Amino acid sequence: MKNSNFYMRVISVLVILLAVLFYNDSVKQTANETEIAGLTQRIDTLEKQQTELLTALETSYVKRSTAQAAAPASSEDETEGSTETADGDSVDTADNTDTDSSEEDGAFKDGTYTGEGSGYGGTIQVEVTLADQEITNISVVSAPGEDSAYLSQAEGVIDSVISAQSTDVDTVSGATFSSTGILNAIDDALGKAENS
Amino acid sequence: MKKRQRQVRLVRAGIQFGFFIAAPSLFSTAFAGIKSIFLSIAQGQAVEWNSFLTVTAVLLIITCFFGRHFCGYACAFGALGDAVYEGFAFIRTKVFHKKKKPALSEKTVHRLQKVKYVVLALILLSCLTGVYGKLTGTSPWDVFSMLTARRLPDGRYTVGIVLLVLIIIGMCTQERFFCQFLCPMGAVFALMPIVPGALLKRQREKCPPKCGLCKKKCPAHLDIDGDTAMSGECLCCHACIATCPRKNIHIGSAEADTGEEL
Repeated sequence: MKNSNFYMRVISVLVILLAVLFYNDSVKQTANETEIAGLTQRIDTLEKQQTELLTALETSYVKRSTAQAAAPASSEDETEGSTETADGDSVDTADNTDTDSSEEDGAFKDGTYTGEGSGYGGTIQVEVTLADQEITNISVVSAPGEDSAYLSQAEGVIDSVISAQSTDVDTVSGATFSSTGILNAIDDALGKAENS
Repeated sequence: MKKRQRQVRLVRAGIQFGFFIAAPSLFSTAFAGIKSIFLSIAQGQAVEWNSFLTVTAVLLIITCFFGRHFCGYACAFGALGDAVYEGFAFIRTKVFHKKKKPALSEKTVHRLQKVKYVVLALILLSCLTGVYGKLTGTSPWDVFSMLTARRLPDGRYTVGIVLLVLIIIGMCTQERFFCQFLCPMGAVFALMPIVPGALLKRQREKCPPKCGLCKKKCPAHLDIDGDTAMSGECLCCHACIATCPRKNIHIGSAEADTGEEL
């Protein structure tokens, strides 16, 4: 057949593309499934807590009404109530620890700072904005020596730095020089923001 | 006749020089796109579109529709290969008065052309198994792109420097040594379906018997016959077109005009 090589290759390329699409689909599906499983578990625990709280409220209400009906023995009543609130508090504090722990370095002045680090082909300058001891925004101001394709890949570290609130994150594979440069520049800027 | 060959070569050299200055990292960016697919598969993540893949896709689509003109005209590493080979040949003739250009035999060339698929497979396998992350400093391309960015590679790049020197020595022995035998991106390009209308083809019926000048001139020693199993090896250097004394070689159909040439 004429041009049989060409047609064979077209078919192979299409098969490869379909395989990648199929793979992507299955990865996303498993991710969805795990997320759904996690959410269902959370709902279950919340429902369990709810019923526990409701029964606790009910019993205390029953106790209180029987106590009021019988005699004004107020001292016993109060202790009962205080343990109840203590329980509620402990749940609250457990929730709070999450946000507290991320602010490990509480020695920064708020404001916007610039820092420099050397990337692949020159100096990268970044701007770091701090508010309430947290890194809220990082932007690359200038990177004259960086290849645009590599730089936009390397800017992926910015998201991980903001979510980790630390520069101790993995560099972007394939754009190691540029992302290391950005991390160093952020470190430089944070150094200027430190309260010494 | 020689004048026409020199003209074609000079135009190509000019374009190569322009791309070398303007975009010396296109080839490694394109390959970074291929690697990124395998790296995300290795981590069990979905393959996300990224800026590397844009470059990869553009180059692959151009190759499918217009042949490997990127390799012949735009790739910085290919330009280095041409410069090294031609520089070495020049020194040989001027200083040592040896007439013949260095060249490997046709059979060896065709055998060595398969090596690049092994290189490609090994690199992609290292991406899949996670070994790739530990290979920093071993890539001769990293060393090359640091040099084009006017940065000196340090001690961590010893393996890469040694490999680059070995490749440059190899480049002296055969035209487009690296592109034909070792380039993993070249392997990807060679596997692409190139539209038959974009391939170089000779009108065999018009060829005098036992001529074969084009095959001798071709760095890949191809029988310039359009769509064959080997046609992906053509680097679109257009040397055959310039060499043919009967102007029998054209892109695409035999009747096509030469306007399609760059």
